[in-house]
Order: sequence, then structure tokens, then C-alpha cells
Amino acid sequence: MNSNKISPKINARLDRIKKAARVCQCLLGTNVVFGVYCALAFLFAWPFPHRIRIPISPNHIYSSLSEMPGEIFALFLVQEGLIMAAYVALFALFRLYGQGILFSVRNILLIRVLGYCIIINWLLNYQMQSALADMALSMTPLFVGLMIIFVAWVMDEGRKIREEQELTV
Amino acid sequence: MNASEITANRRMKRIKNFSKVARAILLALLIVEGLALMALPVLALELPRALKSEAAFKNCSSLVAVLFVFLVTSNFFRLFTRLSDGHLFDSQTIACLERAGKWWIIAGIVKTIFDSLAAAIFRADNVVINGPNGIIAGLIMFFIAWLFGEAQKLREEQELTV
Repeated sequence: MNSNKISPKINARLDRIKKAARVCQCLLGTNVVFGVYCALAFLFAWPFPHRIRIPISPNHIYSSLSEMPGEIFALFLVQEGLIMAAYVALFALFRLYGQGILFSVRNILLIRVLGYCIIINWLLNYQMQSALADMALSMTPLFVGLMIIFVAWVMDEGRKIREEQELTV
Repeated sequence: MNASEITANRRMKRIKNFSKVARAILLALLIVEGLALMALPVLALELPRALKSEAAFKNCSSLVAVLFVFLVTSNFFRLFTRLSDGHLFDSQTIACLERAGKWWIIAGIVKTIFDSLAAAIFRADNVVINGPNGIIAGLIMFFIAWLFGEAQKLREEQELTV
């Protein structure tokens, strides 16, 4: 097999992954800026084209901070912090993909962090809706979080199997 | 068999065992969803009332959504079946994950359309549109499948390199 013909193919594939990762980083960055402004606009009544409404449950949709009970507001702040942490982890993950690092220990750790953030966010939603006695929780985020943690675990086991096989003489 | 082979076998066995448990749970879900799909003929009876009654509209939209959820669950079932057979990152396994992601995106779009229609037709202020959750979940699964696919092809190409 001619190696001069093969290596451009590998480079082209890696370039594709890096490009996709950079596009996702840009989209994430835009989303973070927009999301942070929306949250601050809700908290401090900053100007925004449409009225911002935060739906906690079908019968509890808040359009201003004063309408939110104290407990719900505290949980809402924790939720916003968690979403920011998830975005930071996702940004770091795409940065690694952009550098061509696909299946390192750091990648797997960041994927696990994302999975846990999604599950904890679901639990926070459950807590908020329980406090309001108005449940309309979707199970999708819980399933997604568990799937992501499972994928991270399979990736980790696969990585360890490959490392051990490479050590075998 | 040396120590690293024994450890590798143990790891593989762990993945297979966990996949078998996940597969059993998904099989139970498939049976429940299959039974729900049998109520699809009810859809034909409810359709005339669907645009007049919010409850009838929600019943019709839920039944249609169950069809797509069934397709997502069946692809995840196939994925865990392949994992329980020890096929970790081959092309067919990755294809199952990719198909599950695609159907999840479609399910999310369908749900968003139905929720938006419900809000528009019945002028309900309390309709929460959860469809985007499914779209984002599907995109995540699709991206993971795409990444695995590219990495698998990269490895194959590197192995061919002299």
C-alpha cells in the first residue's frame, strides 16, 4: 500500500474533525453569550426584543424576578451555574477535538462531566417542580445523561483495552 | 493467556454484562411502546375532534410521537445488542447509534411542531415546548456516532499505512 496516498487521506479526515469542532465551538460561544445576556436580562430587567419568560412547569411561567418564590430563585441560580459549567466542559471538549485529540483521558472526563451536569440539571428541575407541586418532567434529559456517561465508560474501557494490547509483547 | 489479555477480557465481559442489562430494559420499553402503538387506530377516530379539543389533539400528537420514540428505542436496542455481542466500535454499531440520533432529531422536530400547533390553535399560554430537548439529544448522539465513525476510519487508514 502506497503510504504517500494514504497519509493525505488521514490528514483530510483529521482536518474535517478539526473544522467541525471549530464550528461547534463558535456556535457554543454564540449560544453562551446569548444565554448569559438572556439570564441577566431576566434578573436585572435589561432590554430585550421579546419578554423573557422562564417556564419551570406548565402552570408556573415567570416573566420577572419578583414573581419567583425564593426557593425557586435559588434553585434557578444553581441551575444557571450548572449550565455554565456544562458549556465550559463542552467548549474544552471541542477544543481538544480541534487539536485532533479524540479519545484521551481528558476527553472522557469532560464527556462524563457533561453527562453528570445533564442528570443534576434534571434533578434540579424535579426539585423545582416538586416545590411548586406542578410536575411535567420530561425523562429525555435523564436518559441522555445516562447514555452519555455510558458512552464515556465504554470509550474508557476501549481505550484501556487498546493500551493493554499495545503493552502485550 | 497473559495478564493484559486477562484484564482485557474482564473489561469486555463488564461491557457485555452491562449492555445485556440495558438491552433487557430497552426490550421492556419496546413492548410498552408497541402496545401503545396498537392504539394508533384510535387516532383515526380522534382526528375529527383533534382540532376542536385540546385533549384530543394531545392524544393524537402523543400517539404519533410514540411511533418515533419506538424507532429511537429500537435502534438503541440494536446498539446494546451489538455491544453485548462484543462489537464495540465497528461500522454497524456506529450506524445503530447514528440512526438512533437521526430518529431522535426527527422525533424532537415532530414534537416541537405539535406543541407549537397546540399553543397556536388553542391559544394556550401554558404549553411548554419540550421538543428541542429531543433535537439536542439527537444531535449529541449523532455527533458522537459521527466522531466514532471518523476515528474508526482513521484507525483503519493508519493500519494500512506502511
